[in-house]
Amino acid sequence: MANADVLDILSDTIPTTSRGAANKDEIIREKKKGPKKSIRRPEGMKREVWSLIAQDDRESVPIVPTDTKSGGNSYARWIKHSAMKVRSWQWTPFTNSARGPNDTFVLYHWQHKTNPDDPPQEYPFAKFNKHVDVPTYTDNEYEQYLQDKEWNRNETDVLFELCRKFELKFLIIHDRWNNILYPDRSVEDLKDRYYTICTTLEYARTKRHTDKYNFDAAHERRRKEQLNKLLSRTKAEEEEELYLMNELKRIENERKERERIISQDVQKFVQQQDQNIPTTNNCIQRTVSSSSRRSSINQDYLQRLNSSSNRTSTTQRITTCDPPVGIKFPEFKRPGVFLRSQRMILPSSIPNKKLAVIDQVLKQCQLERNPMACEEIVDEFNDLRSDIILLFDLKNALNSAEYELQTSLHRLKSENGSTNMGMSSTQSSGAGINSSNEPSKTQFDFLLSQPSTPNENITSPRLSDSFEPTNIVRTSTTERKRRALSSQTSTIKKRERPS
Amino acid sequence: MSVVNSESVVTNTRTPVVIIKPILYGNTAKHLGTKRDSDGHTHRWSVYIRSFNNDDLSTYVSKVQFRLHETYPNHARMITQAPFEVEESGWGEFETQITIFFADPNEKPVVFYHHLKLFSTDPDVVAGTKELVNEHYDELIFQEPSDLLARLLNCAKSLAPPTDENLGTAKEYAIKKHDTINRVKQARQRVRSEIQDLTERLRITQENIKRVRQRTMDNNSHMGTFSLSVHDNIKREIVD
Repeated sequence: MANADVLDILSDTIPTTSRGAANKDEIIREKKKGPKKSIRRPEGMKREVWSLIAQDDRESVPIVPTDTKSGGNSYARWIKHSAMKVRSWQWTPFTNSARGPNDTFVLYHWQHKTNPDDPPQEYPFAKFNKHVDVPTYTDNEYEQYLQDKEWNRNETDVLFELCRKFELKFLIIHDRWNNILYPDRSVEDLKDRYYTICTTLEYARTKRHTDKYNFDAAHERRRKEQLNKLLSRTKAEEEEELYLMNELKRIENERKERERIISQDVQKFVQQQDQNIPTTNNCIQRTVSSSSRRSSINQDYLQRLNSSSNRTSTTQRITTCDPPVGIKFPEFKRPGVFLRSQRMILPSSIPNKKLAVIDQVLKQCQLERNPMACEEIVDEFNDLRSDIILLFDLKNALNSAEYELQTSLHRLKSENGSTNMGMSSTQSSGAGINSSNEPSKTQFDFLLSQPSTPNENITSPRLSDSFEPTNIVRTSTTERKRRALSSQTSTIKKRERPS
Repeated sequence: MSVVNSESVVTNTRTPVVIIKPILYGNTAKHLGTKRDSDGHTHRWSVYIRSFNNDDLSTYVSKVQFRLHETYPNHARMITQAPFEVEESGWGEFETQITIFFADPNEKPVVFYHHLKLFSTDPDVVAGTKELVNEHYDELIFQEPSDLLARLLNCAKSLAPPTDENLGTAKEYAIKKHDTINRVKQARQRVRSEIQDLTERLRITQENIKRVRQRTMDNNSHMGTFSLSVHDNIKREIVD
């Protein structure tokens, strides 16, 4: 590109020898290619290094900074210039039309010698002298549209004069603003006044809205204020901000990671239990949703209602269906030789917590970790371990559900307590409070007591009772709350007993 | 013998064929009585793999590699003949990697691990009068073996009529198998019943949560009207 530009400029300046130039161009290209091909990469030099130095391309980067800013192949340019005819320069006087029609000030500059027959050319830079078109307003227009309580007519006139004088260079206008005669104005104030007038005038004259003048003073002020603040920060503040940003990023990442893990777990669980035990996955979903964000209780509640209506219809199936598989063991379907015991190897995806649970249950049932590997045992043993995992998951789900029940019960109790208190105080006095409170509490307390289902092996302790309550969703704080809650309920009971 | 999987199982069609060969692998160990001065070894042990029903393993197994602990000289021992066994002495337990190569070199070898056991709490073993036996029963499953290997597998004949000792181990394993199955089944029954129990409890808990929430909602909407019928409903639900 750069070379093409150079060519353009050059051909512009030498219009007489255009044919010859084309020929020269060809020659130059020939010459350029010639030496380039002969230079080969020296042995032992890295390709990358060579490509930095070798000038085989127009866009190649010179390794040494050059003072010719045009770039391109300096060698080719040198050839080009050396092939051209030397043209003489002349110290010529010129006038600048941009200085005004009456200005006859003469300056001199070096110029290529021109044909004396040609008409004198205009100074080429004069055309860059552009003027801003600052609108003017009549008295009538001002009276009608441009009144402002902050600005008086005189001041506005001064502003427009300055605008005209300094070509809308508002910083200069601000600098020249006479703040003794007129109130002190900021750059934004000046700009705002000017552009508002422009817009109003434009609308008044054309009856059309235009976005030619677009200036949001409030935004500008905020922007400058912000920049000022940014500039005036201390080192410590800057560091703190950086630290906070990093922290925020870290926390965000952690949150995402946590949510990803939870959703994965839920997905897995849902897949496993899809048809068989809908209640459990509902529960898991609920714990997830409630812990991840307690957005709106009402929505949550509606969801619950929906899910529970589905649930009741499917509960009958639960007891009849086989529990689904909790572990997916590797299957050996492909041809080959393998050992039966290899089918019992637990997949590595199972977390250590669950492995520990399996071990614990096996120990309680007096079973080996690697029993005799024959078909019946392997199948049964794998199923057993699947069931253990399922039991573990169920136990966790139940724990969360019970916890939720407790909290909601507690809330209900406290609410009821307060309402009953209010009611009883109006009805009767003294001992009535206790008696009216009591039934409500006992009525709810039995919900917490675990339903005693007939258990065949009562003598042996329940396997699931020994599980550690491990739930990713639950944190130590909720655990603490639960403990506090349970102690609270026990004190309530104690208090009630004597009465 | 009758209880444990016998010779081979051939499914109805030619392919796919599944042939099962029960094997035993493990180690025996015996205390030397003293700590040998030269190398500090205390036990004499042997690690082995052999057929469960006394057929000739070498008809379809070409060689077995026992990878011992690295401190042994030439620790990857390759055994190419019938008693696939390594006898050594040592002072410590370690994990042995066993690789079985088959007669058909195209068949991928089977790799597994055995924990070489030397020490036991059995008083007889501690005294050095009885040999410690740490043996595992396993089955080699040949899934769609190559023709060559299938033929070799099918013609693997018993080396000798089973001795009393063989019959003894067979019986021992049959009992053990029966016992294990029973125990696993019992355990599974127990876990199953608890699963059902927990499922039921979970369901009830959720119903209760629903009810309590309902009550909270009701309370919020019209305070103080406390009807007993709702509680009766809850009670009935739980009794159900």
